[in-house]
Amino acid sequence: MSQQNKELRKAVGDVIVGIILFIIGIYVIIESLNMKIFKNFSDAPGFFPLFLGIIIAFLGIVLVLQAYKIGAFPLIKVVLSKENLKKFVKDDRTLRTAVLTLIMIIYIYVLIGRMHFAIATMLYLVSTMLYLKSANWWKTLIISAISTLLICVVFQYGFRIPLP
Amino acid sequence: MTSIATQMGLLLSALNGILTPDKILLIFAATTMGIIVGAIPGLTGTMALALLINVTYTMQLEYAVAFLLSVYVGAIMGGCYSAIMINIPGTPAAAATALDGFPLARQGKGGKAITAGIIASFLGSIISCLILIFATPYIYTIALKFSQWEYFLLAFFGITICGSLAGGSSPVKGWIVGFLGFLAAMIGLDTIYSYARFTFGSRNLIAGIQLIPALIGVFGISEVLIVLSERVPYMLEQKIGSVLPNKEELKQITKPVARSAIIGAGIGAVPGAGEDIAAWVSYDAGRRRSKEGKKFGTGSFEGLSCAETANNACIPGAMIPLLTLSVPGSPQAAMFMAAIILHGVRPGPMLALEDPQFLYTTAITLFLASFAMLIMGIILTRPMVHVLKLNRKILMPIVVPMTVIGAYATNVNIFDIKVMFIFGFLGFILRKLDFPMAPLVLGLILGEMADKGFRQALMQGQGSIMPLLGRPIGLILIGVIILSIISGMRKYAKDKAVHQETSTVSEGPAHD
Repeated sequence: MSQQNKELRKAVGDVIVGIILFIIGIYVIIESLNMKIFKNFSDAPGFFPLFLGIIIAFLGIVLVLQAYKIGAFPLIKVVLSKENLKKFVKDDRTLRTAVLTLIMIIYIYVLIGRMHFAIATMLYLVSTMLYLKSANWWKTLIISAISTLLICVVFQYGFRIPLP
Repeated sequence: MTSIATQMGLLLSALNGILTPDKILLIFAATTMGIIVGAIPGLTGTMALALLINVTYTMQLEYAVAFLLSVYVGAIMGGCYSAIMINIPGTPAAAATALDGFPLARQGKGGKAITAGIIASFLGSIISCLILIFATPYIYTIALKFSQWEYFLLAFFGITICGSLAGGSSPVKGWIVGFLGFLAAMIGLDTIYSYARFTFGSRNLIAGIQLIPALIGVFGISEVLIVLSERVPYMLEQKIGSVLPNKEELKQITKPVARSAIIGAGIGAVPGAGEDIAAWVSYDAGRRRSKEGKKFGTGSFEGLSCAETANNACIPGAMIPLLTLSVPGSPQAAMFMAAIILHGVRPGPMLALEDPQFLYTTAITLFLASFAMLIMGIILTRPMVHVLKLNRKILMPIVVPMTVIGAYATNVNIFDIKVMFIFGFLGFILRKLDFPMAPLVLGLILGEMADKGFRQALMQGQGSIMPLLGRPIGLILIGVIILSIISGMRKYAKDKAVHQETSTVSEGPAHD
């Protein structure tokens, strides 16, 4: 992919981010206007967020306009086409990021707090390293076990830090 | 301002407090840790602090300060090992170092290049420490005159200047993340009426977004995802050659030191700008001013020295706005600030009255850490080649449980771990889209100051902004905010013109 093509694809990303920012900005403005006024509006809790909402919505528009100026608009259809999205989903890098993020989500949102931290950590390390093929399975098990043990012992007993 | 005699008394008292065997040992150990973490590609200086901040929770203040500053100094220098030997900067601050460092390593001068980087880093740190000691008391006197208007404008200036400098391809992206940081800081009870804002009915959000989990997420989790999602193969230059530079090379190393140290300290003092920007600016200034500027990028000791002097000089520089105005000069300084706040230190102009010795404790610790960096850096030069061979696919997953402990231990709350992950994932996506992270952190830190300053200033002026017109410092700040926005836009327009020119040339008519 040429450098210019990459820039244009990033600009398409900017258009999407710009639109999201505009929506966030509008939401913040509405929410701020609904906040309680105690004495005057100038010292109300919503006064500063109101300005932030306006600035964020404005900067979202600027981002979209910048992308428009470098010619990103005609590319939006191409980048968001079914074929291209299929290619993106099947891309090795996308898949790797998705799997690694999913393992992290399971570790943080499901395992931690429901079982002992050491067991949760061991499960996380084994699954991540096996997926990444960091080492063969028995080396992965040994490295994960030693790392878990070291982390737990050093932080809990060495530095007297509570573990989740 | 306190008299020179009083300051000398404070300096000696701080010196007395730090020069104990256990603290010196801690400084050496922490600097070594920082060097090793900073040297490993993927484990940046900010991540080193993010991972090790939890170690300081149970420490006494002086030990925590010694530990964190030593890790910081070590990690910024440590980045030069991988920049020189494998052409991948261990930390973003060493990116400019790779330009001359790697060609030197390919010429078989890797050992000399590393020593050159260490000497330059040491000299940069020492000069900048002197600037920290002598400039800070003057800034305290100015900061003590700040009213709510100035605090609001200072926070606003932090975002505009940091966005302009860190925004890379577009300052707008820097400003966007800065204001998003402001918005994230609005979550929770407001400081004037204790009204719950943007909490979505969640009890956990009433206390707001906790700084340390957010920082660990932005710099820890996002970095892990970025490193593991890419497959970047790299070649390690195995031959390190001689470690000691000769007289001529030493002359080249020391030539740009004074200029680069001043640039580094100056950029360090700019809110959120950071070591990587300092290194690039110094490298560019060196290339333009040196008689041998054409040799920069081909393996020049002078070029290497420009980058390495400035990135380490940035550290004491970043402490100046942190201590005087409660505005961190770099993301790493933000981590340090979060840690000292946990220990009950309140950075800002009142620190000069509440704990006047703290400035000198910080400066002397940085001094000692620089000496430790010089000694340990040279000792570790050869063994570090083996450290660079560590498998990142093993190392990076191990980082994650450590970030989890760091986020949890701040308030012993599992919710903070979830916040850390959300910030990490958002950081990952934004970084992929070329949004810088430094303004986000700065926005998160300065958001409360901006909100409180703005509303209280208006309350004092009964809704009018007229009182601001009678405040010279406030007017100067408005001037520099406008300047930073204009310079950011001009830089963007200039970069765009150069980019268009380059693409026109590269797309020129094809020849047979």
